Amino acid sequence: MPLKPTSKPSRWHFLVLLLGLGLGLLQVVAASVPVETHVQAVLVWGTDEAKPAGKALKEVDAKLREKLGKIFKWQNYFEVSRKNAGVSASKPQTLKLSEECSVAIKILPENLAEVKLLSKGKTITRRHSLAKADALVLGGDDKNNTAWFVVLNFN
Amino acid sequence: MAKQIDHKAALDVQLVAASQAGDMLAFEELVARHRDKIYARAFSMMRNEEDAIDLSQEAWVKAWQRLKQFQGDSSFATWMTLIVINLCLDQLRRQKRTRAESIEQLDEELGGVERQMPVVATNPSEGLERSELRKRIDKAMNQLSYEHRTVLILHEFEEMEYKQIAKVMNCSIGTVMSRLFYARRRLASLLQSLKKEQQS
Amino acid sequence: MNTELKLQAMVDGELDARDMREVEALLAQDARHAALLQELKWTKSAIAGNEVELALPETREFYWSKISRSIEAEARKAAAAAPAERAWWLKLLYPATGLAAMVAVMFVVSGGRTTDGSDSENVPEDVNAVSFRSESEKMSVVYVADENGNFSPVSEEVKNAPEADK
Repeated sequence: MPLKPTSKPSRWHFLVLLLGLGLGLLQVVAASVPVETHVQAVLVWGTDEAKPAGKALKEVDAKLREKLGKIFKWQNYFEVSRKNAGVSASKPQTLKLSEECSVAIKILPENLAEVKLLSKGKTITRRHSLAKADALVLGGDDKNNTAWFVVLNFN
Repeated sequence: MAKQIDHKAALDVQLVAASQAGDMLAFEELVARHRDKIYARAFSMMRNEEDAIDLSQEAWVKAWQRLKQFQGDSSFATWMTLIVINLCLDQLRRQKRTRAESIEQLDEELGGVERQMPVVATNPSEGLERSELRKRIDKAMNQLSYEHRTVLILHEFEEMEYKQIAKVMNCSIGTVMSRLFYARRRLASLLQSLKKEQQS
Repeated sequence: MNTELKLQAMVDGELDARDMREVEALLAQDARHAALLQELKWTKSAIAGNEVELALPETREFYWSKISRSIEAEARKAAAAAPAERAWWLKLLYPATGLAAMVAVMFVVSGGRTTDGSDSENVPEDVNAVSFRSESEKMSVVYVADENGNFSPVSEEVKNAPEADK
């Protein structure tokens, strides 16, 4: 029985094939090179009160104070705690900033970092682009007209 | 395509027209220009920073929603001021319903007590530096009920006539006049007391 | 209108001609009302132009970010209230989304990157959050307004610390 001739592959079939191969190659390359991102998390307390005596609170560094002061209204900003870690797609990290709070960081595809701030049973999640060199600041109102901030720097 | 305007250099009327066409940056420029005045008016009525910030922001949101209704009969600043005043009055009325009134406030409401106040014989503002006078007036106004403070603000600072004030406060012209009379007499008495305190 | 209110209306320029004549005649004979008129004039001139000046205690960006977020929220509410109107939009949206997805894949394959990714956040239902970016300070901010200050990573010990000696 003579073989039925196969139809000649069209130009479009080749393009789809190339596309598929290209995407696959990209994923292999991306997955095989673990890129570690250094993260620094600083928990800050903003208040108009003067520094409380007898407590181990120091003022934030001048550069951070200037940045926060230009955006927010409080007179003083105190560093409550500071943590550093290396994070990658295969190595997410959780940094404990206080008894009641931790921040979980995961690197996602598309140059994004997923940041989860967990405090008192509630979670704030933020997907932050790492394409720009922005710091990420999560902040909020606190009692007695004060505020809290978690300042995250990625590099 | 709409002509791009230089927001910083544009007049209010141009920014309003651009905002009415949907230009959010033009509206942001209007907010930046008038935010202090609108906040200050809210604070003078509410006497509370947090309420003043919240209500002034609410006023801006309402202004954006109602922009198409602004016909230019008054200046944009005046129109905005009326929006924030109305929001403050609504809030004050709500608060009044839930707040216990002091005896002094009840006296103010019932009226008549202003007739018993002795006439202030000397000018209580004489010899005062402007900044000191402003502080004293502010301190004295803080002691008035919101109705009396509002009528003073609308007449003396917003320069509204009795009829306009009656419309804004949703009361009769007679009530406006009585409240204004009480507010002025009380203010004169308070300024006189402050002067005596300082001298003693 | 009683005499005292007429005196006030006179000071405010809201007295009609007939009442004006009546009041002027009264003032000529009544020292008490004349003194009251003087007090009203002093008070009026003291207040005029002497309102305390105040500046809004928030930066331009922060204040505007809350306003723009509220405007967007109101617009979304209004759009959600009119679902029937969106039906024809959706018909256009599907093929447009498909096209956009194809373009995105081609872009990735070609080695290009999206400009700055898609920032987004998720907050608990009982808190409000505003987010904005400060170009000058190179900061992306998510600010949570929990009315009672219940969401806070700062311990009570830090917040309740005794005040410094003055």
